[in-house]
Amino acid sequence: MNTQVKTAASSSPVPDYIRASKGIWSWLTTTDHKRIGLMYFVVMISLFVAAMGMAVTFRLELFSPGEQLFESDIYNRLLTLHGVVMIFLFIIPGIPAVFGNFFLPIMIGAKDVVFPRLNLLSWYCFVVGALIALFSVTLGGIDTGWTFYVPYSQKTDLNVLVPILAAFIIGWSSILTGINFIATTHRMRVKGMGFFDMPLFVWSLYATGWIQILATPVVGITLLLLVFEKFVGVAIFDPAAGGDPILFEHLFWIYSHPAVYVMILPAMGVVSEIIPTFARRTIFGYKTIAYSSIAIAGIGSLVWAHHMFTSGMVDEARIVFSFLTFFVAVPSGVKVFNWLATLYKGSIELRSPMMWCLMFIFLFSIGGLTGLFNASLSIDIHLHDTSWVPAHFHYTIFGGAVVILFAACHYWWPKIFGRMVNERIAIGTCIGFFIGFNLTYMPLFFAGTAGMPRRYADYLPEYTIYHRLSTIGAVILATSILIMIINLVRSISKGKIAPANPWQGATLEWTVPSPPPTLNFTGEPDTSRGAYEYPVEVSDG
Amino acid sequence: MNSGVSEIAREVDHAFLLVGIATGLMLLGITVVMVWFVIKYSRKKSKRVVNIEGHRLLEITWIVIPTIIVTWMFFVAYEGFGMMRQPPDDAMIVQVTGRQWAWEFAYPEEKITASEMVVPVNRAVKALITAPVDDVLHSFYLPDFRVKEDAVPGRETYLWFKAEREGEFNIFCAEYCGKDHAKMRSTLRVVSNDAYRAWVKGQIAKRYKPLEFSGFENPKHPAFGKEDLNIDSTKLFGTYCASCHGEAGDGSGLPGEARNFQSDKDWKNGTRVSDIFKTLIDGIEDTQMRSFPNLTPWERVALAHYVRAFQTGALQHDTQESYDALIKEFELDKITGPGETISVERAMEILSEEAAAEQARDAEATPK
Repeated sequence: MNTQVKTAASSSPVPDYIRASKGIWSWLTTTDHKRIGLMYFVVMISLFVAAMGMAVTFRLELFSPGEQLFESDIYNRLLTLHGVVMIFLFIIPGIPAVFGNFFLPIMIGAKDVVFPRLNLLSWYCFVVGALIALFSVTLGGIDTGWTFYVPYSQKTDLNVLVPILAAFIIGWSSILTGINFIATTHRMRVKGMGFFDMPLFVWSLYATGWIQILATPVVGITLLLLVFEKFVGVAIFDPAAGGDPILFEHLFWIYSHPAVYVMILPAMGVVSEIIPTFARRTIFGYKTIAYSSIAIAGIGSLVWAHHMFTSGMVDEARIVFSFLTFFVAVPSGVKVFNWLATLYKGSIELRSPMMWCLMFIFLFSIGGLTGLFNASLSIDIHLHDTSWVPAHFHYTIFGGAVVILFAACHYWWPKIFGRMVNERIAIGTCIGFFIGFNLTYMPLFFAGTAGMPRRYADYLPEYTIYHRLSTIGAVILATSILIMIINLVRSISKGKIAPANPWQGATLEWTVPSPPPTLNFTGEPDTSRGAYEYPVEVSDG
Repeated sequence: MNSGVSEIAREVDHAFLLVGIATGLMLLGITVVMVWFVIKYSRKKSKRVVNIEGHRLLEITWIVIPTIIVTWMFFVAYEGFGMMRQPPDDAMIVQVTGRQWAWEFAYPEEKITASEMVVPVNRAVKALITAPVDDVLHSFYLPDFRVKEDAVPGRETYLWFKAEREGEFNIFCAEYCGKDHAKMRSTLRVVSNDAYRAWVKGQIAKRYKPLEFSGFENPKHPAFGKEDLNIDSTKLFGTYCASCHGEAGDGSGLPGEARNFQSDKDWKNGTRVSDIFKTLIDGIEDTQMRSFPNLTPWERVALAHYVRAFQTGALQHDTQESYDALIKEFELDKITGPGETISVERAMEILSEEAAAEQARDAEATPK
C-alpha cells in the first residue's frame, strides 16, 4: 500500500493547494481548510512576534528596580497588550485554527470541513475581532491587564465594553470553528473509521470544540450585562451603584478558565501524534488518552473560581473549587504517564519535533505540578497574584501549548510547504529555547514565594536578582525563537524537497502528497493502516 | 522570606514543603524515566519495537495513585486555610482601606488613622479590609505572614495574623489597580506592647498637637493648637491696629484719641482677653474704634493676646481660665474650620492625661 501512495504522490498531475490558484483574492475568498489554516497562521505568528517584543521590552525595564526606560503607565499598557494579544489572538485560536484546520479533515479522510464557508467566516470574525482588540488597547488606553477586572476597567478612557466586544467577536470565531470541527468529526469520517480509530489529535480537537461552544457564550452574556449597566443604568458590576465586581470575576473565569483547556488540549493531541511517530510504535493506552481529553474538558469547566481564592468569595466556595481543581490534574497526569509508556520499547529518533515534545513533557510537568500549589488553598492565598502565577502559567501555556505549536510547525512543515526544515538549526534553536525559557521563568517562582507581586512596574531592591536572571533569559529566549522562525520561513524556498512521508508517520496526512492537493486525496483515502500501526522491524535509520 | 513569623506562616510553609516534596519527586520520576527511555530505546540501539497497546492494571494504578495524592494535598492545605479563616475572638481590629494608590489603617478603639500599620507583638490582629465604593479592587498582602485578601469596593473582607516577632514587614497591593499599583506599598511594624502604646499616644498627640502661632509669646491654652490658627498676629496688628495705636501700642498713631495699650487704666470694656475680644466684635460706641467683622474669631483671639502683651506682666495673669472663659462665652469650640477640629474638652483630657503620666514618672524617679 505504501509504495502505491508514494507513486501517486510523485506523479500526481493535480496541483497542490498552494499552486491551485493565484493572487491575494484567491486566498481571501478561499474555502480550502488548508489555506484558511495558513491564513490564521500568518496573522497569529505576526501578532506573536509583536507580543513577544513587548514582553522583552518590559522585561528590560524590569532589569533594575526603579523606572529606567519608561514610566509605569507605559509598562501597564505593554503588559496588557502582551497578555491580550498572546491569549486572545494567539493561543486561544492557536493549534486548532492552524493545524486543526489544516489536518483534521485530512486525518479523517475528508476533502474539507463540513462547512467550508463558515470556516472562512470564522477567519474574518477573528481578524475583525483582532483589529478591534488592538485598537482598544493601543489607542483606547486600556491598561487593565488581560483580565479586564471591573471597576477599574470601567473607569478607563475607553470603557471595558470595547475589549469585551472584541473578545465576543473573536469568540464567534471560536464557536463557529468548534461547531465546524464537531460536525466534521461526526459526519465526515472516511468509511470504516470509527471514533476509536481516529487519531488522538482529532479526539482532542473534538473535546476542545465542545468547550468552545459551551464556554464562549459567557463572553456574550458578560457583554450584554455591561451594555445593560452602561446604557440602561441597571447596577450589575459597579459597586458605586450597588453592583458586585466579584460577579465580573466569576463571569470572566467561567469563560477564561475553560479557555486554558482550549489552549492545552489540542497541544496534548499533537503530542499524541508526534511521540508514536518518532518512537515508531503504537500509542500506549489510546482509549485512556481519548477519555482523559473529555475528562479534562468536563472537570476543567467546573474549576474557574480557583482564580479567586482571595477575592472575598465565601469560604465554602473556595473549599469546593480547591477540591475540584485537584482532580483536573489527574487526567493531565495520566496523559504524561501514557506518553512516557509510549517511549517504552520503541525506537526513538531525536528529530526536532520529538525534541520539542520531550521538552514539552518536562516544562509542562513543571507547569502542571506547580499548579498543585495554586490549587492548595492555604498555599495559594500566599502565592496568588505573585510572580509565581505568571511563572506557573507560562510553564503550562508557553511551555505547553506554544512549545507544541512549535513542535507542530517542525512536524508538519514538510507536509504544509513540501520542504524540509534545516534540522541542525532547528535543534540548536530548540536547545536555546530550553535554556532561555527556564532562565526566564524559573526565577519568577522564587520571586513569587518571596512575595514579589505580579504586574509591578517597579519593585523593591530585594527582588533584583530574580528580575535580572529573568530578563537575561527573556533575551536568550526571544533570540532563539526569532532564529527558529527565520529557519522555518527560509526553508519554504530553500529547504530540500520533502517526500510525502518524511517521518514514516502512520496517520492519513502522510499518505497524501506534500503539499496536498486542494481536495486532499487524489483517490480514496488509504485506511488499510491504523493511525498508530507500526511494524515491529524498524526499516530505516 | 521570614519563615515562622506567625503560626499561619509556619503552617503554610509546612504545606508548601510537603506539596513541594511530593511534586518534586513526581517531576524527578517523570524526567528520569523519560531520559532513561530515550537513551535506552534510541534508534541506534533499538531496531525492534514492541507495540504495547496498553496495560489496564498499570493505567488504573496511575489514575488511582495520583487521585490519592491530590486528595491528600487538598487536606494538607485545607488545614492552614481553616486556621486563616478563624480569627480569635479577642483579636484587635484594624480597619484597612485600599484606595488608588495608598493604604490607610484605622484603629477604631483608639480613633486614629495612619498610613503605616503598627501592631503589638503576640497579639492577634484582625484586619477588616475594604475600598471606597468609587475606588477599584486592591489586595492586602502581607508576604511574610503568607496572608492576602482583596479589598473590594463597598464590601468588607478580612484576614488575621498574630506576629510572634518584632520587626518591619512589607505590605503590598497584590491586585492590579492602575498606574501606581507597584507603588501601593506600606509597612507593617510589629513592636513591643509598650512601644505600641507609645505609638498610639504619639498618634493621638500628633493629631491634636498644639501648634504655636507666631506672634503669640506665651500661648496658654491648648485650644490655640488648632492647625488653622497659624496666624501671624504681628502682621495682623500692623494691618488693622498700628495706624492708630502705633507699632508699640502706645496710641501714637492718633494721639489723644487712640488707646495706649501699655497703660492699664480706663479701659471702657475691661482688660481681660474676653473683653478685648468683645471690643473687636462690637467696636466702642462714640469713638473711632470700629468693629472688625471681617476678622475670623481666632484672628480676634490672636489680636487680643497680642494687645495684652503690651501691658507689663499682663500675660502672666492670663491663665488657662481666662481663655476658657473667652472660649465659653463666644462658643469658639463650636467653630469648625478647615483641617482637623477637636473639642477643647478632648484636647484638655489628652493633655491632662499626659501631664498626669509625666508627674507619675517624676514621682517614681524622685525617691531614688
